[in-house]
Parts: sequence; structure tokens; C-alpha cells
Amino acid sequence: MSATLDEPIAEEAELQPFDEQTAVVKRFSFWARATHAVLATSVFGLVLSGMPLRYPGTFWAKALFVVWSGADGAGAWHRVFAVGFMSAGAMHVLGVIAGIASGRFPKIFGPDGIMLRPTDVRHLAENLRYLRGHGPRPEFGRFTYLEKFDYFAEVWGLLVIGLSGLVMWFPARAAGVLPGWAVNAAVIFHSYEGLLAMGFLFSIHFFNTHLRPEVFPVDEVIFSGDLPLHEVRDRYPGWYSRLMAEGSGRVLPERGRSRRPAAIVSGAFLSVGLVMLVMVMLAALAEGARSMIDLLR
Amino acid sequence: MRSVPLDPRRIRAIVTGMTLTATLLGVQVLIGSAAAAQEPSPPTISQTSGSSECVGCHADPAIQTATPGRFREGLYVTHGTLAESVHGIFDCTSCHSALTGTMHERRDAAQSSCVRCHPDQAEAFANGMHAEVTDAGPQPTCVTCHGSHGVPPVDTPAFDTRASRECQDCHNEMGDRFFGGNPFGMETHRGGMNVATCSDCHGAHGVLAADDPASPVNRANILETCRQCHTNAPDNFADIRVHVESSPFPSDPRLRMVTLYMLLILVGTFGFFGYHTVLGIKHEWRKTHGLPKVAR
Repeated sequence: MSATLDEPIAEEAELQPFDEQTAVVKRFSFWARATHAVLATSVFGLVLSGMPLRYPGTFWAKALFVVWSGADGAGAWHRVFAVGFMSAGAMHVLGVIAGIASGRFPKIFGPDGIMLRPTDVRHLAENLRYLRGHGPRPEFGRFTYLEKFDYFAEVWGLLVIGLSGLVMWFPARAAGVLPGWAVNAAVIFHSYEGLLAMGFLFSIHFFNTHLRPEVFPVDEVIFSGDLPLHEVRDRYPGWYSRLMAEGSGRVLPERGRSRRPAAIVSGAFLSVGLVMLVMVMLAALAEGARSMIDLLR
Repeated sequence: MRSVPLDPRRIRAIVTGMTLTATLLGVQVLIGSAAAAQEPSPPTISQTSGSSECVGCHADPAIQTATPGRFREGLYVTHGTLAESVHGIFDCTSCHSALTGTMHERRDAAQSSCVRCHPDQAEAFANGMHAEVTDAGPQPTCVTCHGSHGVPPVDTPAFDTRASRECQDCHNEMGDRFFGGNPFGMETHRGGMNVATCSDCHGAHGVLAADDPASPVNRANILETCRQCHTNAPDNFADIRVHVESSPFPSDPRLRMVTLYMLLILVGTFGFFGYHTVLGIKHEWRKTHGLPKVAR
């Protein structure tokens, strides 16, 4: 297999990213992909049940209340999806603990680790120049700074929205440990963080990860876990050169599998997500404009 | 670099996915509306000669403009109004006992009729602050909050929301704060029945001013009122504001800090990463479509 890798990859193979013979690199473990699936499903449920409660006057809220059988139903389902959401968080923590214990994450602070490093700041500056056509592409490691931000934004968001949601769910218990105003603050946190998380995932994450012209409509790596070798070379040159240097066992022949389920599932999720994004953003902007007018009066 | 052709199989798969979602949502809506259709229908008006005779004139919308006086909107009554009403089974003259003849002269109509069937509520009302006559304006009567001809059954979301909306008609600011800023208020406003509404804390018919020692929202009683539902509420539970300003800049400095902090993060994140995303997509579009101005 190493003989194949030492040869330059044919230009033709690069043009057919789904060629059965393409070499792939293991990027996401089964556990990581399962966590993403639970997280994505929960987030969609949370958005579809929570946003109509936040903007109850809109026409789409009324349609969604039919789906959830009323405001009470939407509130109940929101809590069901919240449990799924927190489970995804727990799955990730378990995965990280298992990964560290078994030695599968030897260098999380290294150039191919998930932790932020000073080079990420340099990569950001370089990449902004590169994207405008004024310089070379930065030598990204396994995770670009944008992907690291995506990850830490999710961690931060899960904590803020999860904790504030629990305060709203169990206000009496929360008031036992927090002052009264903090319960009111939790509502504000939850409301804005919901808007922020939904907006970030359904626009920045969607367009940077799944709706980029190169992988449109979905980056299938999150379904298969395998990233074609030519994409590693193209997108993560730093990681690519380190993989080649160490002759890692991560490079495997691609397993032949249908791409259709991935496209169907993601097609459904992405289209619902984009519709919700537009609807909620319009409602939020209208509300913001109204309160600005009130403020000026 | 040549452009990556979009596989027609993938396009078909996306279309299939979108169709599946639309179908699933459609089925949900159908199930929802079928469940709504199965709910017991409201009592229908008995087609007594009296009611039909009255509705004959009162179902003409012109009656509202043709008649002077404060209650003229209530004069417009159709069979539909009465069919939605919990009182629709009664004959008109059960309440409008003072009315005689077809071209009746009296207009004070039903004033004291509610009391005959609802004496407890009437007594509570007589002891409450809404029965006091002040200079503030017209005091509410039964129909101000409950409506008259179309009064809905008490255990339906329509009754709950209607009663609380009627509070909001006079208590605008408090209503806005509860229904616009409190998540439970938002839920009530959409017909949620499992959450508190105005009367659950303030009382209904015998509502008292907050500085009255007997009021359930008096500082001395408020915790007890909270504990009706939040049985395990600790002592500082009453510090939580119930009427929350829906303004983005609350008057409480701590809440204002929280709001400003979140707004800053919101604007900063979308500003920077929005710009970054547009740059990235533009770059990649040029690359996949073989357009110039790409550093390689």
C-alpha cells in the first residue's frame, strides 16, 4: 500500500473524488461520527421546538405548533431534545476520556491536535491573505483554526445553553444556589445563545463545512469518517506531510459504499436548517428594529 | 484546475431528501389537524324561537354603527358567536331578562344576570379592587374580561388566553413584560395550559392591590404563592422577576450587562466569520470554476 502512496496521485483521480480506488485517511472515529449525529439531530429538534416559543407571533411558529401539538407540546419536546443534546455532550466527554486513557490522542496540543496554538493566529492572517489571492495557502494541520473555533464554540455553546436551560427547567433548584436575578439572566443567556448557536451552525458551519463548492452539498467525511487522500493534501498540507513522513497506518484504501444516504440525510437537514435560519433571522431583525424604534421614542 | 462536476446521482439524492422532509412535515401537519378535528365540538345553540328571532336582527354587522353607546360592539351576534360560547345553549332572554318585545327600548340588558348562576365569583368580585370606583376610568365588569356572547369554556386555552389578554388591555406594560419577556408568558400566549398566567398569582375575581396585606402578590405572601406550583422553592425564589422587560436594554444593570455581552458576541461572531465565510466561498467558487485571481 505504501508503494501506491509514494507515487504522485494521478490528476484524473483528483477530479473524481468518489473513485472507488482512492486512498483515504481516517479522520473521524465511529464514536465521533455518532456523537455528531446525536448532536445534529438534537440541535434540529431544539431549534424547531424552541424557536416557535421564542417568536410565537410568526406564521412559521403557528405551523410548528401544529407539528408539536401546541405550545405545551413544543415545550415538552424541547426538553426531550435537550436530553439528547446533553447526551451528545456526555458522549463526547466519554470519548475524550477513553481516547486519552487508551493513548489514541497522544498529542492533542501538537500541530495535529485540537487545542489552540500560536500558529493558528498566523494561519488566520495567512489564510485571509490567501483567500484574497495575495499569498500561499497556510500549512494547516489536521484541524484548521476555523474547525478549532467550530469545536470550541460548540463546547462553549453547549455549556452556556445547557446550564441556562437547566436553570429555566428547574428554577426552584437553581434559586437554591443562585441569586434570583441570575435566573432572569439565564433566560437572556438562553435566548441569545440559541440565536447565536443556530445562526452559527446554520450559516457559518454549513457554508464552511458542507456547502462549500468543492464538497457541496455535504462533506461526507462526517458520515464515512474517511477523507480522500488528495483532499488531505489539498486542505491540510501540514497534516499530509506529517502523515507521509511517519508512514502512518491511517491511510487506507477507500471502502466502496453508497454516497446516497449521506446526501439524502444531509439534504434534508441542510434545507430545513437554511429555511429556519432565514425565518428566525427575519423575526429577530424585526424584533430588534421594533425595540430600537421604542428606544428612540 | 478544472471544475468538479456535480454528480447527477447526488442531485437526485438531495431532491429525494428534501421531498422526504416535506412529506414528513406534511404528515405531521395532517395528524395534528386530524387530532384537532377530533376534539369535542362546542355546544351548539338551541334553535329556540327566541334566539333565532334575536339573531335575525343582531347578525347584521350594521347594528354596530347604527346604535350609539359604549356596548354597541357587543350587539353584533351571529349563530357562529353563540356556537363558540359556553352559554350558547341558553336562550337569549335567560340573561337578557329585562328585554321585552322585538323593538326593545332598554339597553342595560344583562348587567346582573351573571350573578344568578355565579354567586361566588360575584361576591369575590364585590370585595376585590376591581369593584371599587376610582377616577382612573371605567372599572371592569364580568364581560370586560370574559367577553359576552362568545365566552369560551373555562378549561380551554381560548378561555385562559382570553382572560389574560383582557388583563393586558388595561395593564399594558405589565402584560407586555409578562407575555413578551417571560418564557412562561410566551407559552401562555400561544395557548399553553401548563404554565402560570395572570390570575394564578394575582387572583381573579377578588383581585387586590399588591400593597393589600391579603393580596397573594403582597411581599409577605408572594413566596407562598410561588410555592403553589414550585413546591420546593427556596426563600430567594421571589427575587426572580416575573414581569421581565422585553427591551434589549433592561433597567437592571446586571441584566443589561448580560444582554450587552451577548449582543457583542453575536455581532462580533457573525461580523468576522460572516466576512471570512464569504471570502472562502468566493475563493473556492473561482477555483472549482477555473476562474482567474487564485493564488496556487
